[in-house]
Amino acid sequence: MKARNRRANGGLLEGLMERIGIRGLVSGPLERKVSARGAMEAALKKPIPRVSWWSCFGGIALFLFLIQTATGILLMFYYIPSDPEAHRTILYITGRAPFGWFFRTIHHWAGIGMVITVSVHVLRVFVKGAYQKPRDLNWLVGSTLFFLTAGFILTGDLLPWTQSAYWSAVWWTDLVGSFPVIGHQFQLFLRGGENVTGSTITRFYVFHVFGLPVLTTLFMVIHFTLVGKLGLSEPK
Amino acid sequence: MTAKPYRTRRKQTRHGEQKEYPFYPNFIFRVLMVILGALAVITMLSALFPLPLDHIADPLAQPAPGTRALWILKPAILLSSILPGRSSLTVVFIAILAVLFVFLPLLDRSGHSSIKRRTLVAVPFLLWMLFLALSLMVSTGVPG
Repeated sequence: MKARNRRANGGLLEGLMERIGIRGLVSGPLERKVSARGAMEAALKKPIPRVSWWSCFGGIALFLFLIQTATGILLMFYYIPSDPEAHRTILYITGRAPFGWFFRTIHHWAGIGMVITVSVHVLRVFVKGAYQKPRDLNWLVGSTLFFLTAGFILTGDLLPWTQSAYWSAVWWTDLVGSFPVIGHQFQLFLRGGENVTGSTITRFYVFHVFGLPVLTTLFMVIHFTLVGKLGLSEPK
Repeated sequence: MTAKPYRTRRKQTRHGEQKEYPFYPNFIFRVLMVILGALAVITMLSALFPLPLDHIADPLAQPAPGTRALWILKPAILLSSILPGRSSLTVVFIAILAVLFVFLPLLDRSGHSSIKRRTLVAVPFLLWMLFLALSLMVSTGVPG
């Protein structure tokens, strides 16, 4: 009765939480110790400083990452990471797969948007001086996310196996190879051999759809956990 | 927990403005509005500018004069044309910048939030960001 009254008086979120509440599914001492509903309520009610629109760029970057994941999975249904199937399958996606051209273009623009929003987010954090203690660890995690985002662009560009993508990959892997001591070994690891070939596509594909997303998700979880713990930086 | 925007006034500024508000609904709604805007922009760009597909890569052919470099590489290409000598100098320079960027909190331990009081760090950082922004606007081909 009490719950019904609360649902009638409360908002949409309260009604939803009442329905999806885990109480009843978990029994025994765990139920008394862990109150998911209480924790969620506390998190949502938590007062935060009155921040500007610039503070939303981290959220947009997360949203664009989710778009990238969704459109990337759709592209994976058709794409084959080898030479010359890579180019042929992209031609198929662009020309014949239902809405293939649209999802591929969204994947492209959302990738660019992600780099821009992450850059603006970094710039805002820098200008506000929010990288200093106690948020220094979060800067370290966030700046790593910035490089991981760039990694997505670098690895994803070669996947269509076009002429311009090929020469861009040759140039930047050559640059990596010229790093003293470990450069050449790292270049071999990236290329899968001395030259940029079909095995490079396979490697970049693995980095693009598995290695980088796993790392990015991990760092994002740490990043948002730290934001939740330390709170948003106060505007001055 | 009813949605009541701007009702939990805990702190106020000197001018009586609210300094804090609850995460929900105020901040969530703000982020949702921005996300919808971003979605609209991306959908519009995708519909108006479909992505063209270049010719298939031919590792045996030389790069054509008009072959454009990947946009994210433009700053590095410009840097390699500015820095004299070998490309190892460019990659070491970029690596040093990346390390300085990641460990920025160790370089600046002043504790000042105002950017005017952090000029030693702020000026090089902002100049670097300006270089990045300007180099992205320059049309760069793949170096042969």
